[in-house]
Amino acid sequence: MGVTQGPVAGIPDVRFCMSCHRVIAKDKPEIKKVAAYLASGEDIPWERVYDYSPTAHVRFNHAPHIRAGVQCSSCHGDMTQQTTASRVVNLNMGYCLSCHKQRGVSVDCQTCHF
Amino acid sequence: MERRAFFKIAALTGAAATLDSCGSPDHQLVRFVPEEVLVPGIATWKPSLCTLCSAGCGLLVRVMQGEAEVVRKGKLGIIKMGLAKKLEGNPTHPVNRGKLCARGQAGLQVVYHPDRLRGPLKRTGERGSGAFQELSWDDAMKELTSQLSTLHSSGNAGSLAFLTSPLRGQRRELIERFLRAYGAPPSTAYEPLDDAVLRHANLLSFGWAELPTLDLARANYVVSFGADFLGTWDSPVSQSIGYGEMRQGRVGRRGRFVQVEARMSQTGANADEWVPCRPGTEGVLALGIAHVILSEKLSSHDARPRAGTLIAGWAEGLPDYTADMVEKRSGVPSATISRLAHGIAENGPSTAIIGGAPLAQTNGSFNALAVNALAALVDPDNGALLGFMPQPPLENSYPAVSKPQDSFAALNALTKASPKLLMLYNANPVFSAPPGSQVRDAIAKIPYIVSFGNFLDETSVLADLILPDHAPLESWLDDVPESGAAGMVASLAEPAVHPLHDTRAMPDVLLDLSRGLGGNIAAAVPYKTYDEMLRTAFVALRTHPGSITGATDDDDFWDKVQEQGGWWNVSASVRAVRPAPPSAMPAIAPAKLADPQFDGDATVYPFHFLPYASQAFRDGSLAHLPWLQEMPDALTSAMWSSWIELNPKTAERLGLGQGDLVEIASEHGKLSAPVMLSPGIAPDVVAMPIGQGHQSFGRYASDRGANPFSILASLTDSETGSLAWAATRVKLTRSEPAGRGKLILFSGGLSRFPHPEEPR
Repeated sequence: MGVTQGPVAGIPDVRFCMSCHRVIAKDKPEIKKVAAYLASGEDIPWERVYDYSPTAHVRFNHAPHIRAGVQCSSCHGDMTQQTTASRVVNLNMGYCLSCHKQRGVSVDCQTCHF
Repeated sequence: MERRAFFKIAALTGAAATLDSCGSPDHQLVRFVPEEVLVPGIATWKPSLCTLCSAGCGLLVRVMQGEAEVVRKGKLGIIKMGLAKKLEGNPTHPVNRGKLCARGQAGLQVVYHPDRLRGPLKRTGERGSGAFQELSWDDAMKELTSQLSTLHSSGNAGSLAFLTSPLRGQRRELIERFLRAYGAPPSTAYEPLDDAVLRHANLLSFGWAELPTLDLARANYVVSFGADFLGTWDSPVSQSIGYGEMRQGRVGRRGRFVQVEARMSQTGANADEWVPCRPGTEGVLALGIAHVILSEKLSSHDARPRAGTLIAGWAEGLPDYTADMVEKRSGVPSATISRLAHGIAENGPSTAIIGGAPLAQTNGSFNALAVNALAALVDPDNGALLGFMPQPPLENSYPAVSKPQDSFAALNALTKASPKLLMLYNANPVFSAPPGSQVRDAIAKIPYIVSFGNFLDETSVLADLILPDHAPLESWLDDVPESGAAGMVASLAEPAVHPLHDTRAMPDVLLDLSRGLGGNIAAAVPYKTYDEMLRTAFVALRTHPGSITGATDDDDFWDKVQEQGGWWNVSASVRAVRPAPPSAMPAIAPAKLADPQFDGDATVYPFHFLPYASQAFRDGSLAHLPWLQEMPDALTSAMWSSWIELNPKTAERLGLGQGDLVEIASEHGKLSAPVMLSPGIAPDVVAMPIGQGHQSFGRYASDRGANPFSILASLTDSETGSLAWAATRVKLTRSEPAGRGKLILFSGGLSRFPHPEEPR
């Protein structure tokens, strides 16, 4: 959410999920869990999976990548094949640089470290 | 550290950290469903209004999604919401034109302040003990409605008192309509550094009971009698913009500026010439200058402006105000008087303004009339540089121009009337009224007190019920600035952020109360919400020429007003908009020379005590904001402290050095504070910034420094009853045991003087 406009890939709140799942598959146990959260006024306590260490001083902006047509799976793996999200792609600097070099995009330090 | 070792450690911590955020939650707090949907990482700028002083500047608030720790339904958790990140001036607002002062910047801290009241409270312990317990809004509203209803039905509606900081616009309109329908007297607006003396004088001299709007940008010579117009007086940001133009905005021409005062203010430090003048004799000095102009015929303008005829002897050329007489009284040499006279008369456009301590004397009104007369004499057409803002055509039930009620007199009237129910809204007289008024005792006697403020201060801590208002950035705000722009301005702002805590907008609470009370009270304010009332008021402006054009209908107009931050009809200079004074100007007997009276025998109390509105806190109502505590004072670089400014020769005579603790005593009280050596103060004057010395005002302001209001005499201006806060005399004694006061300076202090102690 917001990934084409700005730096952050947000996740919508539980109301967005329930807008369909109020009716779709509402008796499945996992869906019931989601409904229980909304009923109690709480949002699903998502845990972050992909992140950079703060010592790396990396500021990643999704928008230019999405606009350039980079597939989500290139950095996050194929989420359609996963049941629990985990880090399937090792996002070290070499990984970012190889794609940047291939596409002829800036490899200046300040592009990502500022 | 060894290079290899560094990289090893970095690699280890790096690796560990990348694994860190996988599978270990940050904290155990629940996450609430957000109350609004925002795109993360993208900021928007929303218009708002600054409420921290009475200038009424327009703001832009940068809002971005973030996480805040809040309580919802009794549970502590985290919520994603739009958070205010930074304040800037609104570039289109005619008063401040995109600029914002330091106090305005600190307004951000009001919203996220840890001491903000988070929900309704009911008193459980002794009054003033600070013992409160939480209760629900339903219960709180039931209780207050029942109190008001009982008071009303028992025939005591006239015993309801509403004490507030000065309000304008529809917020005040709502309160006045409510009170009038209830059968209670109009609200009492209390402001310790009230400008009632100047408003009254402006009404007599120029026909406007308002603070002046100054066109400094076109001035060539300005004489300011005590007015800290770049810092705390009138509309500082608007005046600073004009001042910048005056000094550097015109090629080849740099306006000249003279400041007359007993203690150098931040404004005075910018002057080309600083003229020390005995306290209370500023009016005499102004007339001495006028005398020179009249007798030497230095001015080609009308020698009998209306403001001049208000001074006894004007028609004869002010024969009593000879240079010798004026020099004897004011201490200003006759050569200086003559030079100022030539300066102001021969370098037009020029003007004279007055503010601050000269008005806070027993002869404040006389001083104001005198300076107004001088201004009218040198300013062609009775006010090319001095203008007044007409009221925008909004319907108001309180008269726009009337004899301005002074807030000190009004406060005394309120306490004397012994109300049975007091509604309190951001006024803090327990802190700022002089001890002679015995305000705390009077208020503590009132049977039922309810406060709408969002902090507990010395006055609101006495309340029985607290119904905290939203923070200003969370509220629908509207204002009609009194000065600072050349024309009509009606500001408006919708809330920039959602409410953080379980608070309710005070106007909405009043509307709920009116519905609960029913009858004619509900009929007087028939709006579901406050913004409905605002919309009704503002769409009436659509038919008047102004800044919003091309609106297709009322809804469209209302949207455009919100987008812009208000509605206005202004020109580039006050000269283009100089409305005729409304109705008849009151006639008075020409003012005779009035000498200032001071409290305390001069032999026992040899010093004039000059408290002044500090840059950071003004009247003390902003001392709870840590950014302002941290802000070094412009002249002394002091922070987080109170101090007493003393002339170095006086200090030497008394054996006092920088930072030494000294006790100041008047007839009415005493306080201790460290000495600050300052060359810019007369030898028989001691000055002290206002703002510190709070006893209960949150963690940053409480038990810090000393409160100059606590030793003031209750002398008043003879015409308006305004508190003469510069009329107290004091004596100084070295504190025993001798001690170093807590004086924290950002810089090394004045290089000539001994280096101060390290901060505590």
